[in-house]
Amino acid sequence: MARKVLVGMLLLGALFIFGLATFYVENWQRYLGKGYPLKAKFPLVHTLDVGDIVRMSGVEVGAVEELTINTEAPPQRQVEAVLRINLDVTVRAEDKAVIKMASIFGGYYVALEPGDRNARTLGEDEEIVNTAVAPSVTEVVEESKVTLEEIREGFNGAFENIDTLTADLREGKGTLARLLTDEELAADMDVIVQGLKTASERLEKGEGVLGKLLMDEDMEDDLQKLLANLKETSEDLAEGKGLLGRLLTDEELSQDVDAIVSSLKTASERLETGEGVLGKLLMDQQMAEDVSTLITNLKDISDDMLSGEGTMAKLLRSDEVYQQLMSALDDLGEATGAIARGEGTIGKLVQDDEVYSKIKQLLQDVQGIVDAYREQSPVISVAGSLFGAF
Amino acid sequence: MPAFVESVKRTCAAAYDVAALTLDSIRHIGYALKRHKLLFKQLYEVGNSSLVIVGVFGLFVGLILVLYGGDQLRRFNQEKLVGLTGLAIVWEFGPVFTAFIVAGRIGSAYAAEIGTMQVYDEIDALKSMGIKPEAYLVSPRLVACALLLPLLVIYADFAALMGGAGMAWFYVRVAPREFFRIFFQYLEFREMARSLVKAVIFGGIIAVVGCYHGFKTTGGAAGVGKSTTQSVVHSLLAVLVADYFISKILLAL
Amino acid sequence: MIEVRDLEAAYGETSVLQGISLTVQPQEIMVIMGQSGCGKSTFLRHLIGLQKPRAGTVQINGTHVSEMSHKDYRAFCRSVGVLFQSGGLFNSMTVGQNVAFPLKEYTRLADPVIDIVVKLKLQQVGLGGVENQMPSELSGGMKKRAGLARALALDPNILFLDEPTTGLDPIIAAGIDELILRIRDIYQATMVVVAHDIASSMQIADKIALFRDGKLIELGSPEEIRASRNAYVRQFLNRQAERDEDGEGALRYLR
Ligand SMILES: Nc1ncnc2c1ncn2[C@@H]1O[C@H](COP(=O)(O)OP(=O)(O)O)[C@@H](O)[C@H]1O
Ligand SMILES: [Mg+2]
Repeated sequence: MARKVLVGMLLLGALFIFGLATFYVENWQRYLGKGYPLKAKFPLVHTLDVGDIVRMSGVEVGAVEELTINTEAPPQRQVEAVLRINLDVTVRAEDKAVIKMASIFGGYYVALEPGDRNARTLGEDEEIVNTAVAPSVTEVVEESKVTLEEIREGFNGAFENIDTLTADLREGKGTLARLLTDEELAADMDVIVQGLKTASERLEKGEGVLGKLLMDEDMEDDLQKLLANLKETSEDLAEGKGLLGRLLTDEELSQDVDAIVSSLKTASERLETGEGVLGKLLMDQQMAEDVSTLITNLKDISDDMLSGEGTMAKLLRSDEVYQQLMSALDDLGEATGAIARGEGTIGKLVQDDEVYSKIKQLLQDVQGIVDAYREQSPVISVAGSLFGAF
Repeated sequence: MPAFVESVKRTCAAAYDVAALTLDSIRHIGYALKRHKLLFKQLYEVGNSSLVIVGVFGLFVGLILVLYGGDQLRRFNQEKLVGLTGLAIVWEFGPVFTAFIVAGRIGSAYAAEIGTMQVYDEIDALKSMGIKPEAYLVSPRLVACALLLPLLVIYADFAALMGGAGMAWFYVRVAPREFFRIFFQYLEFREMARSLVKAVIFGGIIAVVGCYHGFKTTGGAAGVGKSTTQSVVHSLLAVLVADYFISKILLAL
Repeated sequence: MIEVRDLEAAYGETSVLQGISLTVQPQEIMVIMGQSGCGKSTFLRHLIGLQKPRAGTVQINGTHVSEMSHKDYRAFCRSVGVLFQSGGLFNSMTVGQNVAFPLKEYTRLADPVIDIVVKLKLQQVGLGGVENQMPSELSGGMKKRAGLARALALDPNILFLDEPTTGLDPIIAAGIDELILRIRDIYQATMVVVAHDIASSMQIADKIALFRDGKLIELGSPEEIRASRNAYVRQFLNRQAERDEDGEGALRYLR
């Protein structure tokens, strides 16, 4: 009996210790003796933690086993990380260890980037000398902080360009007589006006990207500012009209007026058929929907975040994640701003399909981020919240 | 204080007994396989008495999971991902719920059967005929449970997925095709294997705990009743605790 | 030959048997008597090796029962028949299957042969034609006899019978007594029988052991027991109630 009690006690004790161990031991590989350790020194590691993954060309090949900080060491090499690498993976002396962000919502991993193929193979406990730390999201955003203000500036620039265009028209060698008598020219003008009209109607009906953007309540503030800007511009146009009055009396005729008007016509036609960036922006229902889902998605998420509902919201409620998301939005703004700024004249903007695809790509990127977040988070949180329900 | 010490002692002795019973019955698995008539009888018992109820249980687990899961996902406009509830079924609900049913149905029956045998001197009669009860009674039951629980889990998973897909169709408006596409897109073989390993261990736990309570039955018919209840409570507890540790270990490996 | 030396037994902390020593010669019938709860069944369980003694030894034909290897123990079990106090029949099997059980476990007899042996054994104990009934369908006395038939299945040369006649009607009980004597003659068996009935015990026993509170009070042939001067033995034989103050009080309370 006493022996039974003793053995039983030992047994329970062993089970208890084993149980405790499962709480504390995260990386079993280390204790199972699989793989071999390598060292790498970094200036900082962001929030990289023990147990985080080491990847080579995207394939998981190990884990971070240990992190130690040595304040005596030079600041560029003050954090030493021990990486446990699977046995069947060779790391060479010229390879580079880079700490990278796992997703826009945080989490880091160590990427081993291949260097010289002919370099020596690293053995147990040796050091990967080439290291780098990819900037964090916040840093990226910090560096390229661009606000809607700048987008607006960009738009204004574009409108100024229209101004210039009309100014060109005016200052060019056109004559009113020609303008008034030339049937062909009149018809062309008609087409231009028609095109602009359809575009603005679409805008009004909330079709197309710009329309959606304008109709979105969330953007009301911005919309108002934008409208103010448009008004300003139309006032400019009004001034232009005044100039047109002057044009009426101008005797000088331009040889190139035909060309300019016809190019303007092509532009507006392109606008109407949905070619070019602005055209696409106005006509492309698909892209409009992309933008609108993106915005509703982001809105949903931020609503949930603010109200603190659901597992997802809990995941997101931390200010950090919120900031990151907002920064992502800013990123989008910055990119469009850059396009607006960089591409100069509206004519170029209208005709350049490349710019369109860039914007589209950017939208997809952001949508991708949101999707990625959604795709990974249900897997993590749905199961959790389901269990929570019971 | 002495009462406390006494209960600690009793717990330790019980731990020893359970461990000894487990080892003994594992050691005699060969006997169970040789005496295939005994084994088939137990296999039949387990399968026959669990099949219907496991199916019904699985079906409703699927329905409920999709009900809640669909609601949760709708908040994020991601109903199409409702197939992910299938993962929860494979990971946890399949093995654990099946283990619960089998514990209630089979584990308790073992405790009652062996408890009655204990009370009516049948165990002693066996021993006096030179037959080890661990070999004759426990091993076939252990093998039957450990073999059949994974099969029952697959069957329960299937029923739950059917229920879930149906619910997804009618309630969440996600076609079964889409449901299963998402499910299989995210399901990994490892997870399936993990769930089956769990099922084998749960089966062992249920059989051993049920038989243990049967063997330690005293006090006539009332004692049998007590053992039966205890066996259910203890196997449920043991299954859950084991689930945690097995999951933790298997996830880490 | 069964030799018990200074046997002590306990359940947990409560001691049940203290310093029992006795020897049963081959082909001898030893009847163990005593009040219920005095440890007779416990003593039998030690003889069969179902329980390990806390102290002392139990040897049967020179080997320690509690220290045998499983193989030796099976050989031992093959030559031993046991009837438990409650019959010990497997309730999940028919009576016939119960009796056939040891035959199937220890012999390679063909099924028809086993059927015949089962019928014979059951007829021996006066239970012809119940092979296909379940134990739960039998009366207490029939269960005992079916248990006896199972104990006899392998033609044992050592028999342990725990209260084979208790609770049976006098006619059946007399039949069982007769059966015990016949078995001893046919199988040349050594027997340890627990019994309460004084008259029948006197009739079948070669030796009688009287237990009291886990101790061996008196041991001898029926004549020696009858002639014993021990007060407790006299009280037991004369079927007198306990005569201490408490007993008196209880009796007074009855009146
Ligand atoms: N399994 C057991 N656990 C604890 N005590 C027991 C057990 N079996 C019997 N006892 C006790 O041991 C004593 C002797 O029991 P037993 O040998 O069955 O007596 P009997 O002489 O009537 O056959 C009794 O006091 C009984 O209470
Ligand atoms: Mg008794």
